[in-house]
Amino acid sequence: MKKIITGIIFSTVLIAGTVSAEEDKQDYVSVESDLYETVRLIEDTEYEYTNESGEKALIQDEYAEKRLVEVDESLENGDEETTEKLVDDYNEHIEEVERNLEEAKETGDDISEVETTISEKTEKRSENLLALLEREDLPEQAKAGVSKAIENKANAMERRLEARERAEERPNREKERAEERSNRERERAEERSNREEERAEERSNREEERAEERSNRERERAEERSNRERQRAEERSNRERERAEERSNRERERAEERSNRERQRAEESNEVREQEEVEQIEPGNRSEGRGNQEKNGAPQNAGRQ
Amino acid sequence: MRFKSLLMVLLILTFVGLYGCSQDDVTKSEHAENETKSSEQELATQEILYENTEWDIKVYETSDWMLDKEVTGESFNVTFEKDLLKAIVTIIPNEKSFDEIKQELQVGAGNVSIEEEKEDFLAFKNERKETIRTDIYLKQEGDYTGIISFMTPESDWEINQEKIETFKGNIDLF
Repeated sequence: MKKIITGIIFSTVLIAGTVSAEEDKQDYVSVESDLYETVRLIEDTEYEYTNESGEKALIQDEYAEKRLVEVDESLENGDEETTEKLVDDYNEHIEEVERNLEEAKETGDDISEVETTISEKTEKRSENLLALLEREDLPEQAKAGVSKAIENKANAMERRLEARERAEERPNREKERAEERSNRERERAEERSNREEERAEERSNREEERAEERSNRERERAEERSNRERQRAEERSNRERERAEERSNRERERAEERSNRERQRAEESNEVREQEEVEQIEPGNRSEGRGNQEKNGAPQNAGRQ
Repeated sequence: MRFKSLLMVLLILTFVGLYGCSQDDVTKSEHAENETKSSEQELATQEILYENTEWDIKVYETSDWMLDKEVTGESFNVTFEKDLLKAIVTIIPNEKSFDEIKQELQVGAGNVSIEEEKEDFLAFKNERKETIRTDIYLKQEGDYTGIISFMTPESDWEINQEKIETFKGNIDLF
């Protein structure tokens, strides 16, 4: 029974140990690895090719975190020289974080989120730094470096507070900005609507003016037409009157001619009647006269001709 | 008398002909010499940009590539750059497999996404606002493993492809 219990305990310890070793393996590249320097060069290049100051600050903060883990490892290995170098590197990274944050502020970037992230991480790391400072195996030079790092952390705390305040102010500022935006949009909408109303009024006025002009032109044309027709009617009437006068003159002349002719005819017929009457009244005279005429060889009806 | 003078003329013509032929041979040999010289010159014009006999590495001059820095220790690292393109040449003792090397470099690079992986090649991009692409070529020879890592902003990677290939061809390892 004892053997079985011992076996179970031993197996549990073994399994736990294996799991723990697996977890440790994943996090970072050991300072003793052949590839450690290559990884550091990759870090340098990644930083070199990053332009945005906020992003650069985040990168340096991440590297600082790595260095702290590596400090722990090098202390465990008893490698004082590497520990000191890594503490220096840690502080350089933190200084670079500060420098980038300042740069970002100068360029006017909104880095409140970056500052909050960095401050939170720094606060978490402060416990590790204090624990490190209490370690007896920490070399003196490294101790000074860690103290400096703790001082930097205090600055970072201040920054975190500032960032938090700014973050708290942010919703109000955003609300104000939103209100300002909404007011501006409303004003713009009003301006737009006013402009459109004005344009509509102008359009309507212009159309009214055009309608009036059109109506005036049509009235003028109608008047012109009516004048022209009146003139034509007058001319027609004048022409007809003249024609009527001509006709009447012609008829009068014809009537005069007819009357003259009838009068002539009447005069001629009167003359004939008078002659006949004369002939009837004086037949003897006539036969005598005829005998005279026959004697003289004159034609009988010469007097008629 | 006439025969003698004719003989003399023939002799002179023969000498002139022989001299001409010998001159032609000289020209030909000079030309061949020139050709050899020019090929030698060609080799000579491919000047060496960097050489380290201890680690057995020779990098030939490639247009506008510059030596950046050299880090030696247990392993050997030398970096070169051209515009926004960096080459890190690493030589380490032949103790790790390619898979271990790739795994370790990937862990060291932090939060990355793998773009391509072959037995002797790994490409990844970091998961950041300004993405950087890293192409890693591996070569094992004797007691050492050579690692050539090219890094460039992702936006420039396409146009840097040819430069990467050319420079890789001018790195003579082991």
